[in-house]
Amino acid sequence: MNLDFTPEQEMLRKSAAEFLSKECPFEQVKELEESEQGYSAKLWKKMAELGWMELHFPEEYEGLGDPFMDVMILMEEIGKRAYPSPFFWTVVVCGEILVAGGTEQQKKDLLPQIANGKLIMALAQYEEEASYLPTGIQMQAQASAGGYVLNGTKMFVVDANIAGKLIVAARVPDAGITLFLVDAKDAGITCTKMPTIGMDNTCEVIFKDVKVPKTGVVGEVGKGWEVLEKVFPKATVAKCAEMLGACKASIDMTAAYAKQRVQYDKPIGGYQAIQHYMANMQLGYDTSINYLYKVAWMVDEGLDVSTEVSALKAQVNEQYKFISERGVQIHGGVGTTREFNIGLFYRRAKACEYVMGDTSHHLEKVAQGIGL
Amino acid sequence: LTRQTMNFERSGVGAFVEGRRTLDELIEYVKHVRRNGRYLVDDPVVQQKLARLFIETEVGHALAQRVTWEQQKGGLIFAASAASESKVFGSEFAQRMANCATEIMGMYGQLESSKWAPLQGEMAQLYQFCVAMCIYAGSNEIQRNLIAWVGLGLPRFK
Repeated sequence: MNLDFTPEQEMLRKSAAEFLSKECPFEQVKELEESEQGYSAKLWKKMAELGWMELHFPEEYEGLGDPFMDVMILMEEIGKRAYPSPFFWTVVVCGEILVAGGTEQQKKDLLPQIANGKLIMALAQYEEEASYLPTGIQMQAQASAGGYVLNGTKMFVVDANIAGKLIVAARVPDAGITLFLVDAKDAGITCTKMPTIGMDNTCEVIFKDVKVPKTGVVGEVGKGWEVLEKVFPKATVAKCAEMLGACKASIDMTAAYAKQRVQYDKPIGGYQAIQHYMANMQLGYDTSINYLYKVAWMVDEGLDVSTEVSALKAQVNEQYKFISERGVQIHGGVGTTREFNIGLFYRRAKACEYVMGDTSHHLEKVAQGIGL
Repeated sequence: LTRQTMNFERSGVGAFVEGRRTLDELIEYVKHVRRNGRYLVDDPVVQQKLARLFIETEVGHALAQRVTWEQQKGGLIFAASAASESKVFGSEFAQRMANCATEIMGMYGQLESSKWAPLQGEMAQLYQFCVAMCIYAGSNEIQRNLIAWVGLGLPRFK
């Protein structure tokens, strides 16, 4: 069994790292997260030109048909730079929802638009209860002339403020959870950014009499949850890749600081307390990253990974919080300032904890998966 | 010393395979033992503890596999630091396993091998052995120093 990446994958990683380092240094990350849009349209276009969006899309829809592992490599590099972009929700979540469950027409229309950077998307799933379960979806889609009408409120919809289209999960009476394609700028939609620790595009989206034609149903009525369940494992692994890239960056940044910051005539990295903190951080990273690669490989092999994905997310949730918090501690006072960058990771660790399921949710899934 | 505790000692791939076997025995145990009106398996606290142990066997195994791979390839720097990591993780995982298991067992957790002891008294045995594991073959404090010096390049002063 070969545990190394291919030369092509190493090239992809290198070029992604160079591109992001050059195009989006931490100063720009901080500007972007303070902006209303929360991303750079210019950079988004450049990513499209590099072919990042279509890496894993099927070749029939102008994709490159590369393995999922390649997307994971990109997500790691994105995580290392704390780079804010719609990539995760547009490409990895909504793009994959279309691939897994869209009609032929939807795939032909929308996947190329995502690939050339013209379409940004968001998934509107959660509601006031903030449940990750299908029971958390109570919004009703009432049948009406030629289609459906949506009324209700969706919460924690990331990138709704910059999206061109939303995928909305709602219940068709007597049929079940259905996914609907909705124009994000529809007159009946009110989108409000919620202030978060992550300083990201997390939004409340209110739907009032939003009409969706029958052709706006993603795939089939009542099959919405099945489609989401197909996509969630991949999306979760991709998010973990981003989180672990960020862990690596946190460790490197903190070690570099510890080697040069002098107190009482010694670099603080020479003190044993600091060395032990850092050893624990490295251990947390190394136990997680190798498991990430293993699970990503299993995804590409088409194996059933639902328990392993939950194990991975629970692990990475805790390690990212631990590593970034220790990183701030080791930086001392400057670690709490905006001038230094370790705080970017500390805040993002909290934001990422909730994406695709929190620790409590995933521990329950692991318990179920091991037969308890 | 039982074979099982010696396998934990290795902290290589074998230790985590053994850890998974112990976990499987623990899962069978909680499905069949009742306390306070329910099976132990129906206690959400027990469920979370076992879920966390499972995650540890998974990630520990993945790290041990990587260490073996790097050693085969001759990647000595990573292998040296990661071997220390494996030793630290494996030995402290053994502590967490022994603590969790003996807690879940309630008063039975204190019983060494005898007709009354669950899992042949191996968890009571491991509970006493695991503290030595964190000390011998290079104490975990030294191992952490090594990880910092070799793995992260932090300075070593007299």
